Amino acid sequence: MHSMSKRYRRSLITAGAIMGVMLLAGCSGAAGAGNSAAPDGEAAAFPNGDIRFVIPYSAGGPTDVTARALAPCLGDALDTNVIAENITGGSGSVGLQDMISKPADGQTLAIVSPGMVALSPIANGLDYSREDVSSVGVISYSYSPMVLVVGEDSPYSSGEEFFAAAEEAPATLTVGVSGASTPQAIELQRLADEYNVEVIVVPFDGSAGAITALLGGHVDSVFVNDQEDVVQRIGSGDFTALAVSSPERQAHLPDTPTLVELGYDDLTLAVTIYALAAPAGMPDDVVATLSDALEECLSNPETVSAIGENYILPEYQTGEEFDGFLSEAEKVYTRILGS
Amino acid sequence: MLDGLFIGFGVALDPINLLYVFVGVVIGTAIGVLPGLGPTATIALLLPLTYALDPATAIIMLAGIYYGSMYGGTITSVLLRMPGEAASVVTTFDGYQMAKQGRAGPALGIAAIGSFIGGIVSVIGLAIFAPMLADAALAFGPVAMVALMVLGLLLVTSLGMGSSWKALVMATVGLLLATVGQDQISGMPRFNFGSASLLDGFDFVAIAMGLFGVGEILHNLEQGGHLNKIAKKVTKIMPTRDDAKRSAMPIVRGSLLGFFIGILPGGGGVLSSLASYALEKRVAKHPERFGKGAIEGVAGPETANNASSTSAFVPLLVLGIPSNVVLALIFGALLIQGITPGPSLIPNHPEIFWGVVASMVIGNTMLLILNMPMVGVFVQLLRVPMGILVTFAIAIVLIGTYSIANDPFDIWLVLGFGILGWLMKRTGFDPGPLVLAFVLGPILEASVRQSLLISGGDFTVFIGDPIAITIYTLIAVGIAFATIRRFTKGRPSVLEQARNIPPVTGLIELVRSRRDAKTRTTTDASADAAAYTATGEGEHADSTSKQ
Repeated sequence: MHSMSKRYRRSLITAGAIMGVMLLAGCSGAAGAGNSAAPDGEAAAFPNGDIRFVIPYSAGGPTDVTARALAPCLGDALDTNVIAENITGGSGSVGLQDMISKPADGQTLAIVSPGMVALSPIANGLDYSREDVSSVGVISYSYSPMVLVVGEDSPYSSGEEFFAAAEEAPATLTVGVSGASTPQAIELQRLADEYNVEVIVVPFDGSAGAITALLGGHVDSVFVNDQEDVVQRIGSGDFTALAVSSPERQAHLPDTPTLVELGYDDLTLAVTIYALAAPAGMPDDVVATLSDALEECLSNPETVSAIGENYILPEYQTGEEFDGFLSEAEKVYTRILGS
Repeated sequence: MLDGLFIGFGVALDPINLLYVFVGVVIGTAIGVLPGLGPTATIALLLPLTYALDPATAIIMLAGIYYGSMYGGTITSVLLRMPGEAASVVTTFDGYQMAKQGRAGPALGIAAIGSFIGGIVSVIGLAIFAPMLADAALAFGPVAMVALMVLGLLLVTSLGMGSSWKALVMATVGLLLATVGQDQISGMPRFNFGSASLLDGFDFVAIAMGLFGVGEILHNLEQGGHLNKIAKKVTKIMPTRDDAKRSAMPIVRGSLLGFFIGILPGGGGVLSSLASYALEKRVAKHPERFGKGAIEGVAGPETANNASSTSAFVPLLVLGIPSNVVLALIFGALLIQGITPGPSLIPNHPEIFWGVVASMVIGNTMLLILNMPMVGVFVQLLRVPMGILVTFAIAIVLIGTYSIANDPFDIWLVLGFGILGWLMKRTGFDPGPLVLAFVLGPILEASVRQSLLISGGDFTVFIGDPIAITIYTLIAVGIAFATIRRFTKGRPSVLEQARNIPPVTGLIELVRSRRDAKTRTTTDASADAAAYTATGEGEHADSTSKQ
């Protein structure tokens, strides 16, 4: 009975909160517009008023969740308000360009990933590059690897068999992926370019579409994130896992070899890294202040649990280290996509 | 199944769940009315707050938002010709014309009743057929999808607002507009002129709000406060006995059509309302009344789109396959709760499946009870002086469009499409086919290219799928039937129509039918008392007399 009433109370509070959010949503536009503090004069102390934190993806996604977990702590550490704002579109490039266009004074920040900073401008011919961004530090790594799976009735029961068949008859086996310029699609392109194993990549709108097509027998395999539903279908025998894209085997798929084990040593680029960034040319002391604040937040238990403990590195990585990864990624993407 | 429903109502009637289904449908209706803030954005926004709830409660609320928004979208479509989401576009055809004739009340009333019945039929279908139908939905691969989209596009061009070549031109423009943005297969940007804002293509809301809403407002201003004149005519709020009689069969057909189309992956709202409208027009004794305020054109599609938003839960809950973006978010909500939708959901979590099903019955009832008395209130909106109403409408459209991506570019886009919409109105082009083709185009393109990738470029793949063959056969039979009927019964049916309607109108109809659409300069349509008077024509006369 006690737990029942507790549940009721909790639910009622949430109901109130939901109504509140709906009201706030109406005002959020106004809040976003109101914080353009005039940042003139180099002597101005940082932070000078509220900080605007651009999230280039929509509310509810992993980028949004990570950024919103970080924002309140950053605000506390810098003794100001960090106001998150979703500016979406163009695989993150609309929000990123908004951030780049603002003064490099630390008052405008953004959460970025290698996809937005290094891949998008090359793939989509946009007129910005990673040179327009100054990296503050790495927030988190998402080590959710990709897994190559086939359906129940597939003639292939192992990665060796699948890739042998692909080599024997190039461009016959179809592999569904969740989108055209996703890391999975790029990795499959590299499989053809660097290892001469050619499969037909069939992009769908999101991984659900690809999985539906596999269930209906419309594609031979899919190469998707090893999210919960995929893992469960592997467990139930609907799907057979052939390979994972992480450098090491996954604890929940101990019998599934990595692509490295199958002989494709370099195919480990499909990871998501989130970093804190600002427009290029930010004063060094502002970068240092922001970096310290970020490092502090990444040891704050509340922030850590909200982002997900497994995704945060034990050792803080600075902006320079992130830049190193970006230039690696940029090289690979330029080679594949040309520029 | 009875056991299941028993468990379900046990869950759904829990006071907390009753509260949440109420919260869901109220929020849903509200966001349906506001352009821009659709169910996708709202559910994304509320998702983190649902973590604290029981899984069943969370899904009950999110589902309520989804089907609630389907009804909310109707209100602005009928009153202001502003379809907030794709499924409501079809409702503007006859719903707005009804509003102009002072019959906004019956239009909204019948939409509420139809939505309720559609929802309930779909829930019953969900309870009985869910497991069987889910497997059938899987058979719909890219090839079958191509056939379905071909059917959809044919329906778009046969809606027949005005001349069919104009509809064809508009549908083509819609398809072309849909090509702007990132190529879905290669990822290359198309026609974006280096702009990141155009990488994702045009936003549906910007196009629909611009062409329909802003375009209509500009047109009204030109006509000198047309809306005010209508408002005075608003008399009856409830549908009449005649309305109910006319709507009965469309609602029955819409329920069934909506239920089956909703199950298909990627099908959903637009296709169901479109198919229902086309069907009603096809079976109607007087198809020429469509587009001029025929209540069947509101009852059928509104029923169908609510039925389909309910049955869309079949693939989600039974197979773990979300058939559109909104359901993908609900799928995410379930995953976060540690529950994987899929074949094991019903046996392992009967309280979720049956609870959600039962809550839909309750939610749909609440929507009906909430909305019927509100119809009168909504209709009063039309009494607001034109200057004030238009100002608010434009402000809400601009804010709503901006709020989708917080990108100022979209504001210019909606204004640009507004001017285009006004020009189209002046020249007799209907935006309906354009907007609908714009929605169907990307699905068609992706399916065609996926099919060709899978077949290795072999075009025979398109006729190698049993479902596709069935659909193409239906299309062929439909076209053949229509052609034969036109040649054999064409003339007598016009005479017959003339016989069935009051003499004066009948004469006008007869004369009109023999003329080209362009030369239609009717006498005074406003003098006509008949419910289905061609207000569209009267308006046409207005604008031609001004030229």
